Amino acid sequence: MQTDPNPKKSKDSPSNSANTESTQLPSPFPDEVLEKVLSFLNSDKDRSSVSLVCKDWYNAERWTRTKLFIGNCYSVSPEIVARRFSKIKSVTLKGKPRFSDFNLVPQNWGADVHYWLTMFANVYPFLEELRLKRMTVSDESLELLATAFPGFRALSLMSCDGFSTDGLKAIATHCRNLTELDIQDTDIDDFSGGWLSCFPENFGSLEVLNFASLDSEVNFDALERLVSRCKSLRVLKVNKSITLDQLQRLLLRAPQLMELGTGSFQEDLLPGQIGDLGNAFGNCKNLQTLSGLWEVTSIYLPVLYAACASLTFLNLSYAALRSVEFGNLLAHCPNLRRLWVLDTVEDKGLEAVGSSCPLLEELRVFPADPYDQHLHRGVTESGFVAVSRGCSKLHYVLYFCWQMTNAAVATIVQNCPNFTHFRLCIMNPGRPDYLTNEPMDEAFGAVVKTCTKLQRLSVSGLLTDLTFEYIGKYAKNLETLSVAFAGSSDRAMQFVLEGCPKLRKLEIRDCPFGNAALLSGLEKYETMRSLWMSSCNVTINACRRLAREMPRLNVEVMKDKESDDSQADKVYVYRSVAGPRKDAPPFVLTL
Amino acid sequence: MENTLLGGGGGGGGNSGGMSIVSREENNMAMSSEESSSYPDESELELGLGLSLGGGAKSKSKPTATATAGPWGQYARILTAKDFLSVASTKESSSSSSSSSSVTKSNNNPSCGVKRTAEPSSPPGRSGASQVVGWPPIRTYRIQSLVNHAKSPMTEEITSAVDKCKSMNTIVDKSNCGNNLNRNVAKEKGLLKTSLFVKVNMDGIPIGRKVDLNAHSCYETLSQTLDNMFKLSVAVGARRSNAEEQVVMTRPSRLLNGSSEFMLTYEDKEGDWMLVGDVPWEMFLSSVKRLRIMRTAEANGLAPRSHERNRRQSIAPI
Repeated sequence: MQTDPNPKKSKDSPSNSANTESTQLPSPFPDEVLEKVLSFLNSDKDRSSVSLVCKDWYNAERWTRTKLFIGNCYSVSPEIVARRFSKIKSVTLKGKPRFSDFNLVPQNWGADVHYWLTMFANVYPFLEELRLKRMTVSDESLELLATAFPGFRALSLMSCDGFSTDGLKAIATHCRNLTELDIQDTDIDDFSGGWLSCFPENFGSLEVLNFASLDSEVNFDALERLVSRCKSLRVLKVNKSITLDQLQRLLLRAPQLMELGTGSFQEDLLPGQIGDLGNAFGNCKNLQTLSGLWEVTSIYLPVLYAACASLTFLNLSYAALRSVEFGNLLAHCPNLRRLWVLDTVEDKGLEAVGSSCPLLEELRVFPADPYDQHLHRGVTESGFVAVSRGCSKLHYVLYFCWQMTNAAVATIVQNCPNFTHFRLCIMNPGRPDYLTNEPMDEAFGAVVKTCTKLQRLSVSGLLTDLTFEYIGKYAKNLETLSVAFAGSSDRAMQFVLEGCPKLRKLEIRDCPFGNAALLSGLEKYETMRSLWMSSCNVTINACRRLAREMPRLNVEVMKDKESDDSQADKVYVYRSVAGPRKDAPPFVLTL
Repeated sequence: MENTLLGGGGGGGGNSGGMSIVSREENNMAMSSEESSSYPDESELELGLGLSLGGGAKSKSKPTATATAGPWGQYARILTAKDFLSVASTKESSSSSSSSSSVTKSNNNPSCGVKRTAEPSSPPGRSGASQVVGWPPIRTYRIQSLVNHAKSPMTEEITSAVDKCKSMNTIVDKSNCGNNLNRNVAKEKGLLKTSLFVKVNMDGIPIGRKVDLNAHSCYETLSQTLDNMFKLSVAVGARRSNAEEQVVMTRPSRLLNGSSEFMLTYEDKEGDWMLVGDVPWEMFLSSVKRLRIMRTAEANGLAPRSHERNRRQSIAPI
């Protein structure tokens, strides 16, 4: 690094020296240069920052932006978007509040993409990519998408609803340049698997095909031919209807696959067939992700071994494995970075994780039996501790269990101080430390004190206001907080609202937080994407007051049928430049 | 294990949310002073968790204005400005809110979780493991996969009452594995019909299921399958009694003969809700879009026969 007699001036790039003179000279960059430079910016956050510098930069940015990310489809309107940006080729839209995943949001709530699509058809006919999460998509919308955008290439639908396989037929039939069809976690009307046969015989551009969450059987011959034609196919995730024999044939056609989702393993194969399957897996030298594996049993796991060396992401969350066979499998996967499992592997299985997966960065443990409060099987705090001992790079965890202790969590974060996402779900609401019977305050206190990079936190167990005091005080990078059955008083929520400077999403259910808590965050909510509060103690009047004082927030209330008239059972508050939404169904009260 | 998932956690799906229309005038209304945030004294733990519409939850709703048509009439209210005026001027009662999705609002009731599991009696029609809507926070899609998972041999080892549940599961397995085996055989012979999955929802249960109609050839087997899918979950609360399970298993399906508390209905391609069983099976297959197991009490307004097709029902699908 050069020494400079004038450190202030040389601290930054030439733009700094330009700034010191900017009061006198116009911008040294012609528009074309500025636009060219900005066209390299891909990050949405960077672009937002850029657009705030000055008017020239704002314009240069809006003329060069090609990827649009809208985290809350109601925060802005299609018209506003259309006015500002003219060259959009890729759109990501997110709709319903996250708690709709758990049935807390009634159907027909909204987030219908159709209005957006009709705007896109007018303003961005060259649209290439559409990624939707928690949106309602109708068959009509899919047909519009398929026919109004000749260059359309990539469709990703995550946790969406409202369409059927008829809509997929339209996509398959009309999108000549499709490279990606990715359907995840969707619950749709599945009339038949015939949509897959609608890809034309000369169509071969697919790179990503994921239909794992669909039920109906597809025509296997059509699928096999499709896979053969698509030489660039790197992601293939089939549904349960695909048998092992069929899987083997697909693997032979597509050894270049990088991500594979198998069909069901519930089948009786002859030893020769098992050998063939193992060879087929062995042929896949580039496999990084493996998922599906429904009903896989210990007999079949060895067929996967040959493909495991390069695996970085193993999703076993639909395979109820036991610890021994799981441990054997893991021994073949030294390069795992991400692992999703069911808690049937128990603590012993997690010990194997700790010893076999030193590079592990993300672990998700799902409960095989989330409603069985009597047996409490699955994993405990020991398993978690064991993983933390062996996997120092761990930074993302989602852990479902029935018991936890403060001491265990303290140990865990001591072993792994780099957590960015810490989501702990003790499945019995309000469960204290089972050894000391104390609240779990100190556990989460340890998390926020030690893990300074923490971005996302989900808390559970018996928690007093102290937990939230810790969060407000220490969680300076926290962006998303999920709270359920916790806290003692309004102060808890106030601590968070006063303390976490980067908070963007706050979702709360079944907590004793009332109007004082809600109203303590007035300006704060404008800095956040959204607030969700359900089954708390907020009244409609308080919501009304919030709406009145903060006109740039949309305050929406949904009531449960049995509750008192004054209670605001579900409150959803979000900032918006589009004003109150016009498509709210009757059960959504817009204040 | 397979049946613990479908408990009585109601209210989450399309059932929640009263109907309300608010006019602009509300904003001008003088606000009453902020009520204190004291909340109900939890002297009795509401077991209204598992209920959805009209179950046992105490309803404090004041029926006002007009009710919407159809069997939901008694629940949907169109609130007008008058309602809010009257609400605002009355003192806040603290004994409100029997929201079905709320479990505990009291200050640190640590025994809550314990209390619920220890609760011995649960009214019929609900899972004994009283379930909160949307808890634990697992995506619907994953839960459905877990439920279907229950057909695997894994199940038998998981439940502690192994023997009892084993017999239960093998019976279920038979009926379902039969389908799988038949399917594999049929595949090889090239005889396979494509599957026809339709959604099935049952009143009071937020998580829907899917059933392959082409795996059946008559109403009886379909109804039996649905019986197994849903009735067993209902019996979970009273499970641990082998005798009772056996009774459930061997009883002929009641969904079709009207003797049950529930009736099987379907939505056809025209959007009408009909009783299942009236038309020939093939005709049913060609027109069904989805199924719903509806409480008999609420199905009274349903068009039972095809000659009432003209009358479009306003039953909101779950």
